[in-house]
Amino acid sequence: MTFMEQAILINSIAGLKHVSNKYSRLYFGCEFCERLIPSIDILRRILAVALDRKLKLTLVTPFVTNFGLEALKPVFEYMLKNRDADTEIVVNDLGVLRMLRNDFSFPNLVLGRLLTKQKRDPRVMRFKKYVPLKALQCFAESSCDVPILGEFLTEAGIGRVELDNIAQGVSREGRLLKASLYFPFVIVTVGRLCLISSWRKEKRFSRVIWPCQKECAQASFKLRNRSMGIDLFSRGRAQLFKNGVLQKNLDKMNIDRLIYEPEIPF
Amino acid sequence: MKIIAPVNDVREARMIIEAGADEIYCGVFPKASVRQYDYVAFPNTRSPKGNLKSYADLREVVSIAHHNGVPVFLTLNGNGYTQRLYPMVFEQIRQAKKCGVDALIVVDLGLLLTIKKERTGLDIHMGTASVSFNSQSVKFYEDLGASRIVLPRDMRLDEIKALIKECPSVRFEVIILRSGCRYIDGFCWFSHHLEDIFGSFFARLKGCAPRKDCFACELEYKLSFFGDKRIRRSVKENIVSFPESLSRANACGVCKLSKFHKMGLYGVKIAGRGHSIDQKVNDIRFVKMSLSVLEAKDSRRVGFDDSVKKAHRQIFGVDCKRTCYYPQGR
Repeated sequence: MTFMEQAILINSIAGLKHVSNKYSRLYFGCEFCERLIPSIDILRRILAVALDRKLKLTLVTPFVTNFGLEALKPVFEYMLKNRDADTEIVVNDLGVLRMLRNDFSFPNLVLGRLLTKQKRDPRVMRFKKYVPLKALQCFAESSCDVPILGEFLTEAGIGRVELDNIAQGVSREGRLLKASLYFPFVIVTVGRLCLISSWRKEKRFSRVIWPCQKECAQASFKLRNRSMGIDLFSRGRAQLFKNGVLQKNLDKMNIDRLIYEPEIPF
Repeated sequence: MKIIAPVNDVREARMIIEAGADEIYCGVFPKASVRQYDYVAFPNTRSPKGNLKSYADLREVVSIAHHNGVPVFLTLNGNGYTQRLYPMVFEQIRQAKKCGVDALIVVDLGLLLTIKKERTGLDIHMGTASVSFNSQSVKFYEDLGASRIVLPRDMRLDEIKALIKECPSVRFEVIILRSGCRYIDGFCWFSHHLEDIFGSFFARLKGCAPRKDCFACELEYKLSFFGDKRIRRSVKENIVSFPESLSRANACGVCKLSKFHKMGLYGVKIAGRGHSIDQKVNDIRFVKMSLSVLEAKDSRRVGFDDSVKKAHRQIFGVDCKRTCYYPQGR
């Protein structure tokens, strides 16, 4: 049986309580919010834990504005100086990719799941019986497996792509980059609007983000609507659903890493 | 500043131009494609009703537009074309060249690379869902041949200003009217295509309102809160809905035209392929009128915002306060 690397994603230091000996790789960081880019102090602590527990480290980065680009620069400088051969950075922003290639020459880059365009709408499963099989196949594929994109990513220093455990199953064909699969939480949508921050101000919903107090780290919502067919979860900017059922043929699709999400990611 | 407006029927082209559009964008969804891909693969983000029905229609739209000195852009802005959809995409590009289209609006990175490799000779515009929130993203696309970027909806004015300043060789557009959304286009995987195809299915679900519970962007949720008690006290539980302030239909940023003008923004886009022609014409006239006021002496300094808001109320019959594309703070 092909070896399947076991990784775990945590978004904060508090998440370390979930890390056990089962895992050989630690994913740390956030995908959805530049306000959560870790400080050097936090990174230092995470690196120390990874070293102590003999875990390989992957830093996860979000999509960013120019503010976030500036915040990431010292982080990348630190990572470049303190990395080992297995240290990776996940990019969810093509601007961040450009910066890493041009200014830092960081090896071991990974294309994050915000940039691998799968069909993530959970309502696909509601219509499964009405849709021809070949059409359903279309919904299981990702545009990141298109050959011309694969060549470009390889030249850009990306050796791995990240996928979600979408409800209709994953399908990959052809010459493929290595892939990781996040489970059980699947991203459905992301906004710049932070649900939990927006509800706090004077108990009225606000479209704007008041000074962020990182409420997302301490609280979460479950969202239910009958037409969705499944509950959604949110801690901040993203809404996700849960699918903990794993396919049996993942290794045949060059998926060699599972990334466990012990909590709703934020 | 240019006004870029949508067309989804040949009969609209002349009316859109006469209303004041400087540039036109459209999509094509031929009937043969609908049948070939079993209704589940769309060439762009709009349903068939938001698209021209044939390449003959596209040719005619281009002819009318070029006769009036107006360029035409073809939207190929699907967010994630898998390999099996490339024959459809290649056909769209081939026909776009044949019909004399001036540019392609794209989002998908694989498609962008393909267009660059094929040397189509067409200009490349990156659509909203290409998610260019920062200057490095803009330069990434510029490196691959893009000459114009349509910025994401959720940007602050100072962020837009910074991008225009730092990337002077790229033209920028913002969406100025209609189709507001609480989510980021490029990072949203709620499928409006599923909604278009299976809308009647939702209508039959017990407890679902046919239209209301169809579009994911407008769903009302029962919210349950989990977490810190101090936060729980300040959050209203069992909230049913996101309020009207996130309405798709009425989003507007026209009062910010004076600021965009100062920044050097190239164009403002009216969203709404699929909207009625009356609405589109009204929208174009409103933006055109506002731009005319802007270009008059002294208007940039004083009272422009208020006069636009007043005009919005008069023309559309609703207050624009809750549907602003550019509220302060992000």
